[in-house]
Amino acid sequence: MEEIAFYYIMVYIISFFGLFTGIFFILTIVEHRDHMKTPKINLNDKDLPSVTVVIPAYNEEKGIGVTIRSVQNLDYPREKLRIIVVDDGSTDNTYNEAKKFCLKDKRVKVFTKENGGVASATNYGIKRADTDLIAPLDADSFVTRDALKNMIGYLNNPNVVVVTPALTVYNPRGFLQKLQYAEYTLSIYLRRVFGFMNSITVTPGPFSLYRKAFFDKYGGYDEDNITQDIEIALRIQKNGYKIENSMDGVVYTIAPNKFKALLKQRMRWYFGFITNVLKNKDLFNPKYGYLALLILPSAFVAVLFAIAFFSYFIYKNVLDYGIDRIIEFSVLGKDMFFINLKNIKLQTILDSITNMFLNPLIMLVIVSILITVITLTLAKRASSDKRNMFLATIYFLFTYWFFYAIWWLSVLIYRFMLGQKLAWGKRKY
Amino acid sequence: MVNMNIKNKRNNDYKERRINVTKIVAVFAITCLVFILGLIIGNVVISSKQEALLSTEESLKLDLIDLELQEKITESNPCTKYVLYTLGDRIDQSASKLIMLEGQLGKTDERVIALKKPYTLLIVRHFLLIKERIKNCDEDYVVVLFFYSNEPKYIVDSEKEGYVLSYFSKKYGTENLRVYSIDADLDLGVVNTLKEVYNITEYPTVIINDKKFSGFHSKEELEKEI
Repeated sequence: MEEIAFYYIMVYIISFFGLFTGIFFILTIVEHRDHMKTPKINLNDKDLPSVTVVIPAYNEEKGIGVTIRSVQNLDYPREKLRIIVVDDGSTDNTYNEAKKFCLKDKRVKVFTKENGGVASATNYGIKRADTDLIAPLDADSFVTRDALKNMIGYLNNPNVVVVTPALTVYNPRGFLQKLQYAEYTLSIYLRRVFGFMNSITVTPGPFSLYRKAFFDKYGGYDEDNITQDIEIALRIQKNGYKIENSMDGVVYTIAPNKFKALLKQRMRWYFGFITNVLKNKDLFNPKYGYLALLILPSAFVAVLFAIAFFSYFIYKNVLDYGIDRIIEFSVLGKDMFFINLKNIKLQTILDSITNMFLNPLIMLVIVSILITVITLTLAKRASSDKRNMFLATIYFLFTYWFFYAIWWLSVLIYRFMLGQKLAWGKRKY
Repeated sequence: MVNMNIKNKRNNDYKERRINVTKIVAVFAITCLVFILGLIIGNVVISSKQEALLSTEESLKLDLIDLELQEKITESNPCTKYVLYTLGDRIDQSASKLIMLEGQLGKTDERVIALKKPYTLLIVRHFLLIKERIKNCDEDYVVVLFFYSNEPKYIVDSEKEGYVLSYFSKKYGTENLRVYSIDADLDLGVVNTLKEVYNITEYPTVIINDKKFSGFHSKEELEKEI
């Protein structure tokens, strides 16, 4: 009984902290409600900065055309836009597919190099660019026509070194993709809030817009890092610059639709997050403001909470219930599934639902569901997303924490407890 | 667009990051408010649920008196159909409520036990009534008395027997069979008397039509008797 009391206290403390963070975010949004959208720029075409979109590609012969075409369709003066495709030693037809574009469009340059990972390919492209701005774009992603126009306004502030896009899932089909669709939508909002607090910790691969001068001064991506986008974001933070986030610079990406692929992606992300944050321990200095005091700690609390909730659920429902069913099966065999329709009564079903309310944690669940639904709706509206998110929201509300806990438990157990390294790029981490 | 180069002087940029202490305090205050509100609402919900439980206890006691009166009324006309099925639904409802409560609160929770006592009194009364009726009116009905215990050495077998008997209830329906589950650990005179009368020493014990089955018996064994 004592350990259950301890458990409840832990849950209450963590919930309080979670509630605190949530209310803080809401207040921040209210504070900045008049500048949620990207500031508009009033410049002539000739005064706009020049941009190179660097597209690192490895075995993307099917999607590279779509990506390049989407950049060509950007609403931006032709002479101010360049495209550099870097084929990172593909074993398929990526190079030739990309080369086709050079014939008709002088702005497109295609290079090929030995395989070295996405960071090395991006750096290769950056070195060969001579524009004011650089926008790396993953080859499995593509931009919307207004994306660049809707992001560039933030660079008016000389403190801002990079602008992150409103990244969302393209054509989500099936359970996993819809789940991620809701997740990415929520992230758009969260990143905006983090932006207000100078606490963005990752500049996503697809179409983050950088000042080239940053790369010139501080070097390009860390080619030996498992998550180079987190590394560079933290590097920017450490040097005191600002990372902004645009809610209307919409960029689409393809989300993994198989559990194993998704798990591998998340294990890489989370391992990268842990190692990069630990490498930058000085970010916990209060001079970095909310990043140090609220955002980084809350990331760890969220993980703790997810794991605690997950283990409680497994223990109470799966273990207990599962063991009872095994015993029942040993006694009744197939007959345990026997149902006499005459005997099912509505009252019993209603009773079992209302009996859930005897558990004090139920209020917690209800409140978090409410907050999540509200936030998702706001986020969707802010990014002008007109797609139907109903199923995605349901999947997200009822299963996200479990997946989150599974991904984190996987990386903690597989990588840290068992010491099995994660393969990425040219080596294992 | 202004200079596309990056600034070199960065020291004064940290002031943009400065923590707004007033905001933190305000948020903390609001969080406390919301949290306490949540606790209060949670408590209100729980206590209203508990009140509903208490009222179940009261209605079980009333049902007992109800049953006694029906018995008295039908003394001269003992084979009326209504009495055979009387209160059957209510007993079933209370039984499932008890099961759910046990699941939520645990088998040793005092609220569960407080509800079990009037429930047990009611079903024993019902059992006696039905037994009489079957004998006097030559009814084709099976009554099963099920004694179980939550003591560590008996609990697993008791649960197993419970599954078997639930299956029979489902299969034959209350028009043909009724299982009366009695918690042998309850501190009730009636329970102790029954234990003595039937000479019950181990659990689970199932009594079908006056035939005693001590210890766990499988579905096949018991079905033969039924």
